[in-house]
Amino acid sequence: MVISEQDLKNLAQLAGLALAPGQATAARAALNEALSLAQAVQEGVDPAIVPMVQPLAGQLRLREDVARAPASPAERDALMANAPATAQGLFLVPTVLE
Amino acid sequence: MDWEIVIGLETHVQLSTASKIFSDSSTAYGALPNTQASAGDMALPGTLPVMNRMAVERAIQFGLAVSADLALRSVFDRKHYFYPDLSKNYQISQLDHPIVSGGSLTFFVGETETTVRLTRAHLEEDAGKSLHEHFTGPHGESSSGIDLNRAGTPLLEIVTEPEMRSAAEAVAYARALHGLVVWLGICDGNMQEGSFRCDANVSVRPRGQSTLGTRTEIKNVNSFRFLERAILYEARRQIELIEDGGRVVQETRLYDADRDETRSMRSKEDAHDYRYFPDPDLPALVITPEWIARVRDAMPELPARRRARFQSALGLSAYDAAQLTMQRATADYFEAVVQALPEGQAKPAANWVLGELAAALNREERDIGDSPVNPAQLAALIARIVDATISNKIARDVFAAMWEGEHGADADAIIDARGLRQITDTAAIAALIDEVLAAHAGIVEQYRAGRDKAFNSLVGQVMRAAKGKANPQQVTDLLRERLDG
Amino acid sequence: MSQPPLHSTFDSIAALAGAVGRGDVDPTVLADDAMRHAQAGNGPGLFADLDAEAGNRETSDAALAGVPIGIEDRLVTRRWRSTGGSRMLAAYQSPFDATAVQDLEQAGCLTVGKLACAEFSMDSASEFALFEATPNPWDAQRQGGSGAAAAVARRLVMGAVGVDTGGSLRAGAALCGVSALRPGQGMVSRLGVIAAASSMDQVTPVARGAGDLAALLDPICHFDPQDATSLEHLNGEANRIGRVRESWQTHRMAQQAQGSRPLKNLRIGILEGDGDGLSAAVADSMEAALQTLESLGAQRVAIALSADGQAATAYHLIAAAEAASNLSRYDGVHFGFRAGRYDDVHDMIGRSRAQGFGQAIIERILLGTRVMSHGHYEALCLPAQRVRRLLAQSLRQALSQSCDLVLRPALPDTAPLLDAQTSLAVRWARDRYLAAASLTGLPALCFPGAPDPDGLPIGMQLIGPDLAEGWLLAVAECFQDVTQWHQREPEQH
Repeated sequence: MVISEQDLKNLAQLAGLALAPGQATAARAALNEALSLAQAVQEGVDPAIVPMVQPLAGQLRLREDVARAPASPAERDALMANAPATAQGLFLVPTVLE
Repeated sequence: MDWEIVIGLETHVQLSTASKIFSDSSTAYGALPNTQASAGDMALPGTLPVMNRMAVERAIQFGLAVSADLALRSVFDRKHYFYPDLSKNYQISQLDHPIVSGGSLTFFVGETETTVRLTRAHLEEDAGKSLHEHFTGPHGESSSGIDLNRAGTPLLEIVTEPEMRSAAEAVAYARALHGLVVWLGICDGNMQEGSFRCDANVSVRPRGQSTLGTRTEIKNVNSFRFLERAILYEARRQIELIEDGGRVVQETRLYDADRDETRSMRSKEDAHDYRYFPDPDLPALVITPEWIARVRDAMPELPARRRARFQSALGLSAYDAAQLTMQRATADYFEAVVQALPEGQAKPAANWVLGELAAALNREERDIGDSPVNPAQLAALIARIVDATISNKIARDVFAAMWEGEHGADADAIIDARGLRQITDTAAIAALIDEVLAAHAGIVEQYRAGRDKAFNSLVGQVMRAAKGKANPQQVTDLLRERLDG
Repeated sequence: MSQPPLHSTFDSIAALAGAVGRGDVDPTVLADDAMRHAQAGNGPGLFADLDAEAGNRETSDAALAGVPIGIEDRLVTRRWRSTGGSRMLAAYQSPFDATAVQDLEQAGCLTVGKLACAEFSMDSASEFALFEATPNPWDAQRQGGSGAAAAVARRLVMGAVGVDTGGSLRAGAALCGVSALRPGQGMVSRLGVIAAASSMDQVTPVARGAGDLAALLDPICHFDPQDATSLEHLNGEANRIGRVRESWQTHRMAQQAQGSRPLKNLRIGILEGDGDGLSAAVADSMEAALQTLESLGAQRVAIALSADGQAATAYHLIAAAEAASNLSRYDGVHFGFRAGRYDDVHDMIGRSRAQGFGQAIIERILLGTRVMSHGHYEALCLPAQRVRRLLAQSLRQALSQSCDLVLRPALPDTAPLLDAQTSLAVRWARDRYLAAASLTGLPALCFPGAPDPDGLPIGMQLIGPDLAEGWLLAVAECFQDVTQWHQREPEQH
């Protein structure tokens, strides 16, 4: 198995996922299966070929530097309406310690 | 053990644009929380980045100013980490293909001219801010408030090679860089508002060793004074640690100004695997040689060029020229003074701008743009020294009066009102000399006995008798004549 | 409801729009009727959100006035919740509409409601995360794949728009016996698409036939400056409203000019390897479709493609990486699901994500994280992106030199049972015909061919070169002129 329990733990941490034990076990099995399928792609592809990120890449278009007017507090509150916790126009999270 | 300190600086410069790098929200400082945060800045589902032309132009200006290579094609990458002030939990930055590579900055450390090479400069977006006032969350938990107004502000991250060897050098570099970006108009340089933020990478090694020691990163130091202290502390800490048999750990540290020490940051995850990945929402940024040429043509005379001109055309020393070109406003002020004076007075003008004027500005923590004495007024004062109406010493008093606004900062009016004209009449000076010689026969004796110091004392006495208004050169010449002749 | 919906009595969107335009039918009556039928006919895995009061009731003389449509929940809308099929967004209310949604409303469409989908269209068709898995309208024990396709098949709407990432809408169309057209990359704005894989998400219309697809695709196919990947031009052609319609009409006229052999000179590329692993029914349906096309004048041409055998795997690796990245934003901080209990902010983020995402997406995110991670990126992501380039070059070359269009099945078999347990390998392998369009950004149209002996739908897939949306529509329509598969209706329950 390519992915050990510790590997899975590390990946979950990188991915911001606090997995329950059942989730982790199932995920580890799925991940190992996926990586064994991935071998089909890993083998036999000429490394000289340039990887393709976008099939039809244009160029990055540039927008003129014009700012929209700031939101009123009411408009701001409307944009924040989906936030789980707010106060005084701020998003609340458990205290972040530096 | 002879230790060498190795320092590299990474500076995040907030670019002067009206709108953000990937959204059209305003970048103005001081707005109500989250009123300058669009749906895209909040990373709401379905939102996409759109690139700001001016941010690119600012990067081009910088690259030209430091003689760097400008990549005609550069790529934006996503840098992934979880943090509440980073709404997408990835930052759009540039990794392998930055817009600017190489380049260098030349500046003075004390009297020594130094050049530091840059590795690169790239565009990226700023994160929001966490406010740690005491809020209460939905379960009664102590909470922080997140303001995304700053999220998406365009940044240029400027990275040096690890070539600096002292805290003083690092601070001199930082000041020079600060002066340059403000000069170019690409950043407002306001460190209190976070427009210019330095991170220092510090390591130590035995002198002569070619490999680098393990480095630590000191983040977000927001003043030059603290930058210097932080580097000094960290270097010392590392040296003591190694000498005690310990090992430096590669980590991020914060500088605590109250305690004058650096502290390890409580790190959420030491695995700095950012999983960089070209951003599939942004095609490659292409800039043309034509655009670069247009930017080059529109650039102001760069500090280095102006410095060279001050040296060659105006005969200033390299040091003075460098000091005068630290800020564009200073260089402009200085040139205005020079232009209002007769030819050949660049040196006195430099002395006054870098001397009395700078001291008065520093004392009151003013910018030169706020000076109560304008270039024409200062030139008028200097002209009175040049034409010997007053001495340098008296001129300082006149300057102080001008600074306070006496007579509308008109030098001539102050000189007349206070009767400060220099006595240049030979007969008058001779009369004063006679008075002094008569009154201080003892000192005359000492002079005749071979004590040169006595001469200066006599000069001083004459000047005092003249209430400082006698032309010192004339006094010296006439006294010499009287005594020796 | 014993009577069918009023809109279903019209043969096509064009026919309905024409009747509205002439004043033969009142769009308000159409709208009320559509709403009533949608509510009555709603069932598991169909409408995610239906609101009888909502919907664009303005009568207008816009081209598609009164046409009832559904919007898949992967597109954001102001008037209804937008969930993306995820518990993460179960209560999410977007402050803006997707560009495609705005376009269709401006064209006069009546939005009946939002349609169910798999979580970010990426989880299993047998078990959706938020909604119940869509049953197949032809056999409720089997997978329907997509709420959008099922709603169109059940005549609850005349058409729908959703997001095809790795083939979800094309597969849904094939399973449910309707048509879908995945446009070429950069043609339709992605602003408002709840992103899964940015380089592969495409807004895709679903409808009963090619003509209806054209009616829905044309208004949304245009350059959008708010999407940096939206193309302004491609190969000298402007990406504008009207391009698809004009191209379709031009090809139709050329067909008509050729009388009894409308598809004369059309070379249809067939991949030899496509026959492997096909169920007998699908193979038969493919062959029948080919023979129909040949009877219309087309000729089949054998072609070969580089790296096609690795396409599905490459798709899954790239999609996992891009999705892991795009889904990073779901953390319970600024919007979306937040866990009920947590210790500190990182714990809050970790629990919110672990509880808000379904298991399939969690596994997708972990795979994507692995693919992007330091030390594995070169070994996993880059090879997949090389396969992408090989396939893109090879398919474009085949379409420019060896054939005009490529015909492939959509799926290797007919609808599996809803509770079928399949391995990852089998699930990935089912995408082997769909992956090519996702990876290469070429347009692909799925339309029904002959069903299997039990009447279960089978979908054909036509892939065209860049800018070929109109051409694909014309060829499919020509096929639909002489067949009735697209007109079949499942029995009403």
